[in-house]
Amino acid sequence: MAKYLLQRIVYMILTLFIVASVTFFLMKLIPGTPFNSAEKLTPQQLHIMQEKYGLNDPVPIQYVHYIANLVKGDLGVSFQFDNTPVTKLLQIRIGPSAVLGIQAMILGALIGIVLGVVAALKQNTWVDYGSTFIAVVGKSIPSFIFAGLLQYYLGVKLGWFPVMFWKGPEYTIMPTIALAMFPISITARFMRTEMVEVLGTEYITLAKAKGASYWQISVKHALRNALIPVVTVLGPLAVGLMTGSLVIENIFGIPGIGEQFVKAIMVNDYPVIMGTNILFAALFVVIILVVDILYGIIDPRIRISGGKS
Amino acid sequence: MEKILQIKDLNISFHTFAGEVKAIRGVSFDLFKGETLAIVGESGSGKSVTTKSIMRLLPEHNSEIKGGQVLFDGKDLTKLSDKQMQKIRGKDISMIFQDPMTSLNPTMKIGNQIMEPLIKHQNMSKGAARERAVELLRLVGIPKPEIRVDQYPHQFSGGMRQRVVIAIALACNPKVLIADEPTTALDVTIQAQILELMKDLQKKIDTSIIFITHDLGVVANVADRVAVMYGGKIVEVGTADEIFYNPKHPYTWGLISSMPDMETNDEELYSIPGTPPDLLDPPKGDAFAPRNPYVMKIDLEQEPPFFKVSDTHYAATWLLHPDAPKVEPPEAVKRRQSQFPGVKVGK
Repeated sequence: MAKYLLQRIVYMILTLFIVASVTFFLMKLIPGTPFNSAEKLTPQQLHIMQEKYGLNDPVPIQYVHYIANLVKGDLGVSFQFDNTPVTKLLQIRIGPSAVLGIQAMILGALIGIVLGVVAALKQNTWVDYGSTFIAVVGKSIPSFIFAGLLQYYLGVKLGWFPVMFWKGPEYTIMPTIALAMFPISITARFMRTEMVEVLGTEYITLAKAKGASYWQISVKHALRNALIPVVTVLGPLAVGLMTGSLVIENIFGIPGIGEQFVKAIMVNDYPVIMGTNILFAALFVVIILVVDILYGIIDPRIRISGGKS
Repeated sequence: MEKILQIKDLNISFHTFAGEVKAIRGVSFDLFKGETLAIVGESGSGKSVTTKSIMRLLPEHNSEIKGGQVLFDGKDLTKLSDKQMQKIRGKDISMIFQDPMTSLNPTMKIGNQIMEPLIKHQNMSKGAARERAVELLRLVGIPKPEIRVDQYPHQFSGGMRQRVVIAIALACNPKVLIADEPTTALDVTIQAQILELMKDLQKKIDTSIIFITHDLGVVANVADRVAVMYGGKIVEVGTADEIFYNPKHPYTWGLISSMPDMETNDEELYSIPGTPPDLLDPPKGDAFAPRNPYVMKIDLEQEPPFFKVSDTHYAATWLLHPDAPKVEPPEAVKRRQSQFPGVKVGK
C-alpha cells in the first residue's frame, strides 16, 4: 500500500507539472498585458512596468523563472491586488468556496443516493417518477434560477435565511441548496440505474432465497455494490463544487475563489490565473486519489489488485 | 412414503408488453421425503419458473400465480405473507442457482454470506455462526476453511464457489433443496464432483432435492424420479428407470433419442424438429402435437389427460388411450426398452 501511494504521489506531481506548463503557455497566448486597461500609461511607463515584472523577457525565460519559483512554493504576486502574494490571496478566497462546495457535495450526495435508491426499490411507481422529475429539474434548470427563487421566497418573502453575503453559518444555507441541485440530480440518476441493475443480479435472488428481509437486501447487499460506479462520478463533481461556482458566488456575494479567478483572467493577472489553476489541478488529482482509495474500501476486488502493484 | 411438498394445479403467467405469457399451465407433482426429483425439459418449458414459484422468488412486478397450491408443512405457500415466507426461505426450503460466478455477493466475505441464514433462522451469535460457517465449508470440501471463510468470492474458482453456494443452501439443514441447473455452468469434471457432493450431503442431512436440468446424463446420475416438462406442463413422470428405459410420451422419446449412448453408431444424432410452443397463445390440444411425428387428429383438438402406466409412472399422451393405434417408438428407445427393467440407473 505504501509503495502504491508513493507511486501515485509521484504521478500526481508529474501531472501538476504538466498542467502548470500547459497553462503557462496557453496564458501567454491571451492578447494584451496586465497594464493596458484603465491606467492610461504612456508606452514608456508601460515598458518600465513590464520590465519590473519580467514581462519583456522571452517567454521560455519567463517560464523557467516561473517554474523555479513554483518549486520553491512561490506563486508570485498579484498585479491587480497591490502586489499581494498569490498564495495569500488563494488562502483567503479558498475558505468560503471550500465550505460551500463541501456542504453542497455532502447534501447532494446524500439526497441523491436516497432518491436513487428509493426510485430503484419502488421501480415504475409514482415514487420513481417523482425522483426522476426532481433529477430532470435539477439538471436542466441552471443554478442561478434556483438561487434567485430561493432568495426571493425563503430570503425575502419568508425571511428564513439571509439573502446574501458571507457572515456566518446561516449565510451558507441557501447557496448550498442552490449549488446542491446539480449533484443531487446526477447522483440520483446514477444511483437508480446502478441499483436497478444490482437488484436484478443473481446474488440478490440468492439473498432473498436465504430469507433476508427487504431492508437487509437493499442495504447490506445492493447498496454497497451499486455505490461503486457512483463514487466515480462524485469525485470529479466534488472538485468542481469545491473550487467554487462563479455564478452562485456572485449572486450571493460570497468572497470565493471562482469570482476572483474570472476577474484575474479579464485583467491578465498572470500569477493569479496560474496559481488558481494549479490549485484546481492539485485538488483534482488529490480527489482522484481519494476516489481510488474509496474504491478499494468498497470493492474488495479492486483492493487486492491495488495491493499487489 | 411421506409427502414433503405438494404442488397442485399450479398456473403462472407473466405479463409482458406482448400480452400474457402462460408459462405454467396446471402443473402438479409431489416430492417425497429424502428423494431426488429431477425436472427435465428444454429452455422455456417452465422448469425454473415452477421451482422459483415454490420459493416465491419470481419478480413481483410482472409475474402472477393465477391458481393452484404449493403445500408445504400444512401451509399453502402461495398464500403466505412476505414475512412468513422469509421464515421459510433458507430455513426449510433453500436453493442453489445455475451460475456460481454471479450468485455470490462480490463485496461480502464468504463467511458472512454463509452466516446470514444461520443468524437469521437459528438465532446464532456471530461467533457461533462463524464456527458453523467454517464447519460447513469443510463439509462441502473446501480446503483451509479457517482462512477461506474471510475471503471474497473473486478469490474462489467456479467449482469452489458452487460449493460455497451449496454450503449456504445447506446451512440450516433444509427439508427441501431446489437445485436449478447447479452444474450447467461448470466443466464436466467439476460437474461430477459437485453431483457427488450433493448426493453425499443429501444422505447426511436427509433432505429432499428438486433437481432441474436439461442434461439427461446428470439426471441418470442423481434422480430417483423424473418429471418431463414441455410447454408449461408436465408430460410424463415416473421413476428414473421408467423414464429412461420405458418412456411413453413421444417428447420423452425425442429427448432420449437425442442423447448419445454406447450403441449410437455414426448415424446422425437425432434432434426434435420444430420449435417450442408460443405460450402467449398456447396451442389447443397437445402442445407437442406440431413437432410430434406420431401426431393424431385428436392431439390437435383435445388435451391428453394423464394415462397410468404403473403406480409411479404417468404420461399425458393420447397414444396410451386404449383406442389409439400401436406405434413403434424410435430405434434408440426400443434399444433401451429391451433392457428394462434389468438395468438400474440412478442410485
